[in-house]
Amino acid sequence: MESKRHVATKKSTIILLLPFIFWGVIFVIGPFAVLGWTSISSKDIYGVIDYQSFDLHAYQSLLKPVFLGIFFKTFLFAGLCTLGCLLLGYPLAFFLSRLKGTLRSWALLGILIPFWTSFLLRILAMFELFRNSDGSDGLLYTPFGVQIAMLYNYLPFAVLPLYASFTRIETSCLEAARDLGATSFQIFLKVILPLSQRGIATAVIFVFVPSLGEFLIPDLLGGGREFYLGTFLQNQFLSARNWPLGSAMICLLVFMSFVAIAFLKKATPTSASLFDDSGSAK
Amino acid sequence: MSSVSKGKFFLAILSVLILVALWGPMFFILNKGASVEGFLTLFQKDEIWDATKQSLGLATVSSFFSVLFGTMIAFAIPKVPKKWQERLNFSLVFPMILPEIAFGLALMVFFVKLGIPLGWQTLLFSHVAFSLSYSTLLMKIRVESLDLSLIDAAKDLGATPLVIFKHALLPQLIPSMAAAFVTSFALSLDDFLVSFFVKGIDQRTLPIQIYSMMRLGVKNEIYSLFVILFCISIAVVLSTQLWLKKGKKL
Repeated sequence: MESKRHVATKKSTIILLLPFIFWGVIFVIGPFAVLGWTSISSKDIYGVIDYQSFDLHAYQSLLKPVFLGIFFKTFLFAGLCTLGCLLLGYPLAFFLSRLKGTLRSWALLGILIPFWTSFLLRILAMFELFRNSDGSDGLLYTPFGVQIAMLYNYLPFAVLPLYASFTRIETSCLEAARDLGATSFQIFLKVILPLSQRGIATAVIFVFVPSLGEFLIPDLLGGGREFYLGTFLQNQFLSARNWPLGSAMICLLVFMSFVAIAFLKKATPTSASLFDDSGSAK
Repeated sequence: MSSVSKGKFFLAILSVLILVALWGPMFFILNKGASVEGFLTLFQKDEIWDATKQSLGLATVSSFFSVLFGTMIAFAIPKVPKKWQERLNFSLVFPMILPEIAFGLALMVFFVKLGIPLGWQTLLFSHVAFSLSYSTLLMKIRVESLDLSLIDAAKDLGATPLVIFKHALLPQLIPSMAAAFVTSFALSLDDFLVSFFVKGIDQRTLPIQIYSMMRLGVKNEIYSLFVILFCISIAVVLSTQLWLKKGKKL
């Protein structure tokens, strides 16, 4: 009787999991497996890929200074964007989390609405801002403009996780620190910063990883004069038709995203999560 | 004490400045787009209507499948052995954290390798593939906190599985299903990169249409289109916030 029931639940589990197996294996793992396969295949001059061949040529050419330069530049831009988002988003998120009642909901809408607004709309807003009133380019098509637009577009992605981690810090906790004689700077360093580590890590993942593959901003506001990883990939797949090289670059990008995420997970101490638990128990 | 209030004052000023910087450029466009001529030329553009229809249709169908599959998976997760649960969770989060361009290009290469022609079908597959993670995670939270005593009570009272599902389970699930649907819908409607790579020649979703219009040179009707889209996103955010508040009170 018991074993029969067990079999029944097993069967129903498998049926329930079918869509996952189907979509997960076929549409997530499958594509990346084919991508990896493509990256180690050779292509002829028309871009037709020979999947029977084994060729590490694509990875070799990744070591060329041109491609290393693109990687370096993309990392620099994504890194600066992340840093900027943290520097601006941190005080803003903290301020929002200390507001009370209705004022807080309204101020939060100030972040939520841009967050849910189309990425393209926010890019167009930057386009208008950068263009001079007489119609000349101004900041348009400059690396600085691209950097500012990235900062502008990704800021809400940093503010929301930071805000979530700040709401878990009780104001009484900060008051206690002050009563014990801590200066503002000490409170920030010894109380707020350690308790928001998790929010910082999430914000970094939300901003850094997507901005590594950013395509629209450099394409529309950078004018395509300079290559970033995103524009380069689009070019390799749709114009240059060098799929092995593009695939190899994506493999490297995915690998680096994993390294970044694993590093952040390691760097976030478990004490933060411990507090989360005790905080919710309160 | 005065240093504390000074710090608070500084923080408030800084935050207001950042919010103004975030909103200012958008108001600038809204101001430019809210003109009668802009709306008139916009409404005469057939390609925009066509793209809107395609986007709405795609978002509806893909969100439906996303919620259906997400709910199924959310129910299966607790029954899977612990070791597999972690892997399952990881493969769900995987498409969420990857740079979108990697996902889109991987799907494109995959479809081409399998010989599936790029078109409506590949768009639909891809949209379900990336929104499935979000709807599953939303449903998972709900399934974990389900009130199982209701189901047991219904069972004890002799209800058939269908009745149990309809009267004890579904009412508990519906709010989360609605949230999952709205999230999937918004993701699908807003998606540019994945659609850009997996679409066929005939498909033009709204973001792709806007992108090609922006590439050809920004004209007044785009501003008007953005006024409409912006108002829609404000309406959606406001109504979900109000809805959440109402849910908290109940």
